[in-house]
Amino acid sequence: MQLLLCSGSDLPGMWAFHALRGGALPSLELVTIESLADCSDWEHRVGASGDRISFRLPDGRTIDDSQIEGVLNRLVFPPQELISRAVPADRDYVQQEMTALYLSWLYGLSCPVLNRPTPQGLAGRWRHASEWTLAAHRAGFDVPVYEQTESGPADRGGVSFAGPGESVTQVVVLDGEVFGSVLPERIRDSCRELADICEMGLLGIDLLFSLIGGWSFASATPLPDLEVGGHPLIARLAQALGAPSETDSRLKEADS
Amino acid sequence: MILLCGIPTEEPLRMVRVQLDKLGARYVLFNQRDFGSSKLSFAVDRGQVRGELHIRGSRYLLSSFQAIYTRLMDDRSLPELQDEPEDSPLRLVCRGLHEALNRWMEISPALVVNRCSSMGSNSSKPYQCQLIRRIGFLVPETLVTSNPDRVSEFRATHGRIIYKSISSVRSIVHTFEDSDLERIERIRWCPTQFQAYVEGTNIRVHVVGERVYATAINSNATDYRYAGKLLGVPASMSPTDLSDELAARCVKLARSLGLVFAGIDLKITRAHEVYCFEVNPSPAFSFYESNTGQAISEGLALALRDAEHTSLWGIPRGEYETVLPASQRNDMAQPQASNHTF
Repeated sequence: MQLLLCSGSDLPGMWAFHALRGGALPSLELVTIESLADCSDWEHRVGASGDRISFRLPDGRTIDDSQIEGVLNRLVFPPQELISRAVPADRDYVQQEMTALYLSWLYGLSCPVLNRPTPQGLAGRWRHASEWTLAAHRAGFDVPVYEQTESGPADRGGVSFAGPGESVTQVVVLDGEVFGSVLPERIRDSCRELADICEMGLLGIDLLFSLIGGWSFASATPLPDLEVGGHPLIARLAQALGAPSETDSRLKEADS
Repeated sequence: MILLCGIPTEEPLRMVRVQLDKLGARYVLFNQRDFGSSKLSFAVDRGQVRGELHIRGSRYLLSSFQAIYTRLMDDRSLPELQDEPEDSPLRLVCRGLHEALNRWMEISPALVVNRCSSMGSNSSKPYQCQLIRRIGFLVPETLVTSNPDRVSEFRATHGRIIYKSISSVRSIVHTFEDSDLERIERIRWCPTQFQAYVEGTNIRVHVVGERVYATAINSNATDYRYAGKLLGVPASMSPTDLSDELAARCVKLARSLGLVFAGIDLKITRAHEVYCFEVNPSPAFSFYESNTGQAISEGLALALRDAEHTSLWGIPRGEYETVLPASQRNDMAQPQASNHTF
């Protein structure tokens, strides 16, 4: 069994679910973030006798780590409904507690997890624009200058170098392969390098292009729009999440 | 130059200042409460971080700071903002300054004690336990559950068990008593963390780079930090020695988490097994130093002063966080534990 964790309103996530389950990963199970609000019988163990996770979903399915072969993880926050059930004074506490639980059980899975959670992001490390700027430079991208002052907007974390309405080229890097638009090899190398530097198995990158300056870095995210990579990305994702090779072959045949 | 950030009267910051004065080290203090007369701007340009910090009319190039010790409190709780509405201009000014300061510290090539990103593992105790275990420590048997029956079963297996938060919020350790059974059904609404109680001697180990300060704690309280409040008798503390191997393992643990300075909570059983419960990434070491006379603040001041000239763990200054990916940190050569204070 493979899991896809995402919100029911996460369109790229839902697209990937239907593409994977209808193709190479028929054993893929969808667990929406919303359904986590009504899970019961949580059991997460850490210790000398090994780690364990199991819980029961409201529709009766039981998720058990012994059956999980791979996870496509697009979990960003604990379900809002769960948090809002707490009295106002306890809401922050509940959010922190559930985040801590999700971080631990997803991190502890022995199977492939794309992306494995970190304390800076449940779906992979969230980075501030200033950090992406440094990392992108190291990866070999041309990067505009990032500036921040005490009097600027307080939260510029998600800022993109793309101006309003400016068109960007999106690619997705999965385990060292670049999916999406056709790019010069040097830029593809930088995409791979950025994912490697940031230790992201799955990374979305937005690029800018101008006739004068060529390609430059705009932004990156651990939660890419998977449709950008199309069916080649889906085939590779299925493989990464443990699809049987026989099914893989059938998919390749169908593609050709 | 060293940058100190926080409230000057806060004890750990005050103690480090005293030591820096003794060493004759040059430092600048950013007092959070002076946010109104402070400014910070920075830019990331072609892989370099540059900018300026203004404090009470004095201007400092950010590149002049080779080390930073931060004890910043939540700026939203500063006394100057007590009567300010949520979105008041003064609050926005204060937030903007702290946001810029924190963001710069995250990418500064200086030695930062400690970066926010390195402190994150403490936000989930069972997650941190998994990281701790990788370094070779035992961790207590842990159960996080929303099912009261599993708690009963866990208690039957382990006898005495404790409960505490999963995150770092409201983190006080309690022994699970029979009287807790009356409210055990409440865990159905929010999974709760239980751990097997481990008998033994509590040891707090402060690691500063490769310096190790171990303190033995004698107390009957489940959470010795609150012994005075709970039992009426505060915990007694004394300096203690660790074997070279154990001290080196503590250094390795702090380093694997990216922490220049860490407070590691150990328990050593009668069978000499070493359990590690938690790593505090922003330890209030003054509590231990005041009780034992251990020179933790001096070690910290030396690490800050020497950051300009020496490397930490053999890595050139400023390249630790920004160059090495996390997976490589665990693979670095094991440090020598020769700098023991005791």
